[in-house]
Amino acid sequence: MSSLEALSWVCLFAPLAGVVVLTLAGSRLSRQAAAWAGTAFSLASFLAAVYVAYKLHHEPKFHHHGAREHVFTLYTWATSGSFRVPFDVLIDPLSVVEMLIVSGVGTLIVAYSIGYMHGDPKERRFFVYLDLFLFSMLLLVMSANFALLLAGWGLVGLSSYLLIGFWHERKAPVDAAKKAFVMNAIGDVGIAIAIFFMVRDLGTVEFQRVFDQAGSRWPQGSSTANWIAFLLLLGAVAKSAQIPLHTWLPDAMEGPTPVSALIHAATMVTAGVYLVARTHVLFENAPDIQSLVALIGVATLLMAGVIALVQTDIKRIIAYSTMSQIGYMFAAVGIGAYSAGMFLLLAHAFFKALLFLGAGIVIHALSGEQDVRRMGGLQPALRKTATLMWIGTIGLIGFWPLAKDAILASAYAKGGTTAMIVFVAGLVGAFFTGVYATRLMRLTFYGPRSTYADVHLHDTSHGEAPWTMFWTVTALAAGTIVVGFLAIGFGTTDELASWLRFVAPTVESSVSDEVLTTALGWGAGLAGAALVFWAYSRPERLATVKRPLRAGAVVAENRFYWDTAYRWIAYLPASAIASGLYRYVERWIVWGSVSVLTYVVRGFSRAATDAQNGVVRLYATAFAAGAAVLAAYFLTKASL
Amino acid sequence: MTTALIVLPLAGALVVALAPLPRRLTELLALLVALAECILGAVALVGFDAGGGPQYVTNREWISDFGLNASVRYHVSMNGLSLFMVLLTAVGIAASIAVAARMGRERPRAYFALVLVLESALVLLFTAQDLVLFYVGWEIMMIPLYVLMGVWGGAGRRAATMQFVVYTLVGSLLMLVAIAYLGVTAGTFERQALIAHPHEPTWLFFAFAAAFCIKAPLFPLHAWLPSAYRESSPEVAALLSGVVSKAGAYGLITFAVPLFPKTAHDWRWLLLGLALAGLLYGSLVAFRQPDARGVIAYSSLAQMNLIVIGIFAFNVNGSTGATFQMVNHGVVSLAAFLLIGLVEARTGTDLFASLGGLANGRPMFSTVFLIAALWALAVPGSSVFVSELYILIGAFQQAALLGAAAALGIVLAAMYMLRWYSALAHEGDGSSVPHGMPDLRPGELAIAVPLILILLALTAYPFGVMDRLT
Amino acid sequence: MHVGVAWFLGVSAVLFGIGLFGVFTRRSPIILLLSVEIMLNASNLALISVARYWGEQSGQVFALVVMAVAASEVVVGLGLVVAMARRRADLDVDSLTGLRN
Repeated sequence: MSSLEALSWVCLFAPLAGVVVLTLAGSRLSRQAAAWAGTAFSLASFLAAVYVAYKLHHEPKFHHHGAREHVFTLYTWATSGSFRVPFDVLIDPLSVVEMLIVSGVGTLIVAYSIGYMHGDPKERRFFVYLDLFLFSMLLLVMSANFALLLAGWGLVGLSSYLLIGFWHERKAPVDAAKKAFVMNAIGDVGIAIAIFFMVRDLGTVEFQRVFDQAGSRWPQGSSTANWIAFLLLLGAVAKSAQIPLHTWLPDAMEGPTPVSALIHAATMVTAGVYLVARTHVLFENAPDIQSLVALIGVATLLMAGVIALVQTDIKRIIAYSTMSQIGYMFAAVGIGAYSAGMFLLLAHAFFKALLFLGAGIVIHALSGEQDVRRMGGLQPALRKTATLMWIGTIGLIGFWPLAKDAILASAYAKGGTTAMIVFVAGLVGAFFTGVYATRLMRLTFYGPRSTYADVHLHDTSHGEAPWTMFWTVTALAAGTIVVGFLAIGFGTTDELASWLRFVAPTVESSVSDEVLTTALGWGAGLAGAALVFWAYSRPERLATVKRPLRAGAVVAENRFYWDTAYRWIAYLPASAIASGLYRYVERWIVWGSVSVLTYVVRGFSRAATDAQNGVVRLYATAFAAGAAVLAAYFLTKASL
Repeated sequence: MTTALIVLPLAGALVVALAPLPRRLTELLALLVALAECILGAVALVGFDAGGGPQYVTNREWISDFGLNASVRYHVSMNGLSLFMVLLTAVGIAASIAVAARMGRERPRAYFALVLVLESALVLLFTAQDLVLFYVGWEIMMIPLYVLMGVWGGAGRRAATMQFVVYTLVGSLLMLVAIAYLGVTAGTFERQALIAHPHEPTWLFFAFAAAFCIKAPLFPLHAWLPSAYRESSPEVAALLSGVVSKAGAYGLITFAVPLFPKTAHDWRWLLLGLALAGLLYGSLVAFRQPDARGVIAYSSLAQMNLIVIGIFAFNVNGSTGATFQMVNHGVVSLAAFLLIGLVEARTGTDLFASLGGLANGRPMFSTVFLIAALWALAVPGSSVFVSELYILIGAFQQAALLGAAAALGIVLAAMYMLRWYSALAHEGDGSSVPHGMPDLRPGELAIAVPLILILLALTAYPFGVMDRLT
Repeated sequence: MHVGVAWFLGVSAVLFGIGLFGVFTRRSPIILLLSVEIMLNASNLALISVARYWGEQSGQVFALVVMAVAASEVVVGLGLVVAMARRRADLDVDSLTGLRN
């Protein structure tokens, strides 16, 4: 076993070891020790991932498909004789990027939780779940076949369920957790059916073999090719909270804030983008569906951007912003700009985790208050947090890293209807982003301090938060700035794109295109930010801006009525059908049939019972009569 | 080896029934016998050669010249499926005896003797290679069940037992007629010999299938199921849904289909259609049940119908998935019913309306319930997920729409099992939950943890089982 | 007049009929037992006469077996009668319905 292989397995299994150790140790380990141990296991995973990335980077430069690509098999997981599922991992540039994000950002967020969850009675369990999540997510991004990918896909959904519903004493988190799990199960079924197609037609679910044979087995644009891409898209849409399966994500904010940062911003929800990039061969084999990916992304980025404008819960604002940003990523991979999409995924992992964790510090400082209308004027008290969150906001609006601009440039360079829709919608979305991101900062940190904050704000004179929380947020801010250098554009070496060239290519764009699109993107974002500071500086200005938009605001505040529609279209009819089946079919037809049967048998037995009256002479008479009948029968038969 | 597995519990039953031991010693003795059976089963597993065909064979004349020029043989052996069904039986009986001993049953000598007789009959029917011998095992299996349900059951036990008896007897009498007909016309009761010379009147297949489909049960032959699962004591319900229902599926796989391959294949759409209907129907009805047992009962119906889909997909993926699912579902429903039993013992009810909050400060309770629920809903990555995936692949290969429709069952399972778990574990304590109800005690953990460990082992290495099943 | 096997069988049939009539009409358990004995002996007579007619031994062997069974039956039957007599005065089989369904 090479060191590369060994460290790959360490990276995958270290968090699982954490789950086992923490579960078995139970209350023998103090809460604080359990928290640190949970962090140590994820750190071990990150160090292994760094080593794997380093080794892979030092392999000979690759000029063809198949280089810097390793499949390591541990054992055969399942078999039916004809169809086997190996337990194997694929180490290639794409999975390494994901491994680094998951274990790196993951470790920071786990470390943050040491301070955030301090004193919670279920603290140990929280770290077990976090480690379980990291294992599941690593399994998802490392697996080398679709079945194992689906296993990871479902297990991250499970961890997400457990963590959203972590505070299960209240009803809201439990309902949100169930909703998230069931909606994700719909996506799981999509991927499962795609797997059925692969096994039926190719007899394998190994990535490489499927991608190699896909084009010849399923002609481009054929109905099977479309179905497979569509079903994978269904999985991606459910996991990444895109229209129409997006309604679980805002509700998922009922979970603890580190969970929102880790699962519902940095890693799990972007898995859909990873899936499309990973299986881009299958999507390119179905061009219509790939356009659909881009259009779903566009619709989501606009809708979520609009809803984010009117939200008042600080975490929900960030949640809708996440949906919107993932919409950008979908748009990118939908037009074939995979590495641009992955760049936004990478940058987003940092700046969105940063924003969530910063929001977590604010919430912590205000004893759990999440409503931005009850904040305001916190900047003097939370000076460092505000500065760090500004770095995140700059990343979100797209000034730096230049991730969104890379997508816009790719769309502009690509041309064609879909790409142009992406480009225009992307600019509009950039304006919305500028507005909601700045509004969040403006309402939280500036303006007059609310009376609520006056009463509830913790004393921050000796530190705004425990050092584990503060230090990790700082690291994320640094990360946000550093990743920006991976892909600057404007003719400089695009490190990320060349790293991903063969696994997740991009659309090349010229320097002049990039200057134009970046200028437009910055302009849209700046306009949005400026509008916010202008409007909120005086109440009458705000009223002027809001008045013509009132009708739209109602629609946005009701989240475009998706939840209402699902209630009427899906939940209520399904419940009614289930109740009806139970009340009528089960009670009357099924149970009725057995009642009839029982009744008949009971009737016979009652008749037989009446004959058993205990009168011996009656028995003797019956016996003699029977004998006589038999005798008569045999006599007549003999005489014939 | 096989004979030892059959005789050990029978001998144990005799000793338990006749030895005038006090209650504690009776329970201990029964438990020891059941554990010894588990160990014996483990020895058989270790010595089993994957891909080696039927093993541990005993083949002797039993009743010579049946008067029909067909002799009945005592012919027992184990293939992979038999082996894992026997292991499932051994584990299920041991766990059930442990639970019954903890709760304390009236007239313990009779109770535990009957449970051990049930074990012996199950092992016999899972290993018999002669139709008459199989039928003997099948009928002996029913007798202890009738008594256990009718004497030790809940308030509505008489009606439940009546339905169960009538329904299952109708099925097994049809099978008896078919067995007699086969023996007379073919001159043998040996399974292998009968497979070699297929015999094809259509009604024979249906006579066999009726017995097995009632036992499984296949939709819409499940009318006995809800009341039987509700009115039995929890460990008997666990055995019914975990082990006895598998006897039905086992019969389909081992007898009904291979003896009449052509009829089975010609009529597969009837069975596939019913099974698909049953899968979706059971899942939907499970979603509206007001009690914990009701949900597991109907989910059991759905799962058994999924297994039938796998069997009648007529390909290797479907059948491997079906057999592996028999193992998985057996352990899962054992765990689910026994855990419900532990809750009932403390709260006196399994109605959702008066339960809840088991997870509050009771980490063991919530963890074992959670694992049972997750495996029951086939969370991706679990062993149940693997078996369902194979069944559905098989169904999809048979017909794409069938596989896609059956895959909907996954979403429905997530809905009803999460509802089950949340209703039991989440939010505030229910009205029937005693104040400060303690977490699982060590003795209860000793029952739950082995079942959980089995599930985890199956998940980590499904190949170990699946390789022996193919 | 040749007394053939038919005569023997005729007597046997008449005896059997008498026994059967007794079983049907009488209520006393003792008479009932006597009637059963008569029927058994009727069958013995038939067995022996047919055995002689065919020149075979098996009928006679059967008759011996029936006698042995009859003897033990009378023992059990009379034992029951005595037990009945001890427990209750009236010896009437029609009132013995304690074992009905």
